[in-house]
Amino acid sequence: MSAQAEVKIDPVRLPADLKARHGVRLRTLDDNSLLNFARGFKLWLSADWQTKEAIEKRERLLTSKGYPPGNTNRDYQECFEIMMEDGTYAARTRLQWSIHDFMWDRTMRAFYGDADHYLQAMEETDNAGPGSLTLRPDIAIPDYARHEIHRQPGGFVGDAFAGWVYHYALSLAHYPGVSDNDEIFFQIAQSHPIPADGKVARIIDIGCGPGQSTTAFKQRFPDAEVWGLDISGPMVRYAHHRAAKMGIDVHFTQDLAEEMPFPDNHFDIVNDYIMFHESNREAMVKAVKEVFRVLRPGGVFGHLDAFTAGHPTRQPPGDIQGKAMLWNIYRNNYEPFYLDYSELEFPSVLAEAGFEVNLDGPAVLWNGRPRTLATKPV
Amino acid sequence: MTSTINGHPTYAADYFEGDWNKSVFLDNPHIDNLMTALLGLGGEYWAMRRRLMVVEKLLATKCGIDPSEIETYHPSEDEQKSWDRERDDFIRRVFSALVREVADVSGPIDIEGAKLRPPRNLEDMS
Repeated sequence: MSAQAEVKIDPVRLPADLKARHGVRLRTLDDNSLLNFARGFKLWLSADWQTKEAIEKRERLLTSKGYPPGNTNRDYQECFEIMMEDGTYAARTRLQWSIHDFMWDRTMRAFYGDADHYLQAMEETDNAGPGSLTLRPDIAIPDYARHEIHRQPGGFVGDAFAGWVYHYALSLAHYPGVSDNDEIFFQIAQSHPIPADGKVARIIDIGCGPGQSTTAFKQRFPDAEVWGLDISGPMVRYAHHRAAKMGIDVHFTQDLAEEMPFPDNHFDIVNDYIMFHESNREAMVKAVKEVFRVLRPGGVFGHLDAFTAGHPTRQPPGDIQGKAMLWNIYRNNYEPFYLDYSELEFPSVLAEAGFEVNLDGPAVLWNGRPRTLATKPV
Repeated sequence: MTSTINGHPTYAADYFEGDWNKSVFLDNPHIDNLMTALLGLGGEYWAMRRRLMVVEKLLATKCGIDPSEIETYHPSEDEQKSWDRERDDFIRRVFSALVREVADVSGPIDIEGAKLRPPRNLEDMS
C-alpha cells in the first residue's frame, strides 16, 4: 500500500487563512466582550495556582496543620475538605466555578437570544453537503450519557445549542491559545501515527463533540473518508453544520461508541479525545472492545484523556492536594464518572481487548499529556 | 419525536439535571452569591468598557463628534423603554445569583437521584 495524500499543518504557527476559517466570534460585541472577560478572569485565576511555589506553599500549610506530605489513604472528599479549610483555597474554588458558570450562562444567552437564527442555520445544512449528517431521534440514549457535564446546562444531549455553546465557550474563554483556532485539534490530527503499511483510507473520531478533531483529520488526509460519532444529536448536528459551512467533507452520525454502525476491520485510524472519562465503567470497557472490532489489523487507535491508573506518567495523584484536585474536578466540574476513569487501569483494558499498547505516544503541546496508542495486531 | 423551539426541531433529549449549581464553598451561601454577582458585574463593566472604546474611537475618527454631545444626550420615549428593558435584563443576569437556591451537595454525586427533565427551552433562559 502506498501512503495517502497528506497535508502538513503547523498548529503552533497556523496560517492566517486557517485562523480566519477556524476562529469563532459571537454575533454581538457585548457577547464577545463578556466571554473575553471570562477568558481574562480564568487566566488571572489560574496563573499562579499550579506553580511549584504555590504547590510548596500549600504543602507547608498542610504540614503545619499536622498532615504529612506524600500519598494518603484518606478519601478524595476528605482531602478536598482539608484543603477547603484554607480560606484562600475556598475563595479561589468559589471563583473558579462562578466564572465557569458565567462562561456557560453568557454563551447560552448569546445563542438563545438569537435562537431562530441559529436553529434556521442548522436546518439549512442538515441535508446539505459537503459531507453528511445522520440523526437518530429515536436512538436509546443510555442514562450515563444524559447527565449534565462540566456544569454546562442541559449537558451534551439536553440542549439544542449544546454543540455551539461547547465550541464557542471553550474557544473564546476556557482554552486561551489552545483552541481559539482549533490549534489543539490540528495537533491531535497532525501527530497521530500512520499505520505501518501507510494506508489511511478511513478514519473515525469517536465522542467527536463539535467535530473539531474530525475536520482536522480530514484536513490532514484529504482523500480519506472521515467520520465523527457522538451520542448527542445537538453535537453532531452542530458539527456537521460547522464542517459544511467550512466546505470540509466529513460525515457525522449520532451513535454510541460502544455500538458503532460499521463493519469489522473497517477503519485505519480511530481517534478519541477526552471521551472515555465521561462514560461509565461498563460503557468504557464495551467501547474499547468496539474500537478493536471496527479497527482493521495494523490500524491505530489514538487515545488522549485524563489521569488513569496503570499509566507510568499519568497516574492519578495520591497526596492530599492531588486527591483534592481530583474531587474538585469530579464533584464541582460535575463529571460523574471522572473518578471511575481515574481508578480504571485503562492500559490493561486496552491490552485485554487485544491491542498492542504504547503509553508514550506523541504528547499534545499545551498540556504535555502523552497519547496512548493502541494498535490492532496484524 | 424531537422537541422544538419556536417550531424548530432541536434533536435534544431528556437529560438528568445536576446539583452543581447548589454548591456552597464559603462559610455562608450569601457570600458565595455575592462573589458570583460581583463577577457578573465585572463582566458587564468590561463589556461596557470595550463598547465605549470602540464607539469613542469611531466617533472621533469617522464622525468628528465632540465628546460633550454625549454628556447632554436625552433619549426618546421609545429609547427609554428599550433602555429600561435592557436594565432589567442586566439586573437579572448579574444579581439572580443573590437569590440562588442552595443545598448540601458536598457528598458524592447522587446519580440515581438525579432528576430527569425535558430538553431545555427558551423559558430556561429567563
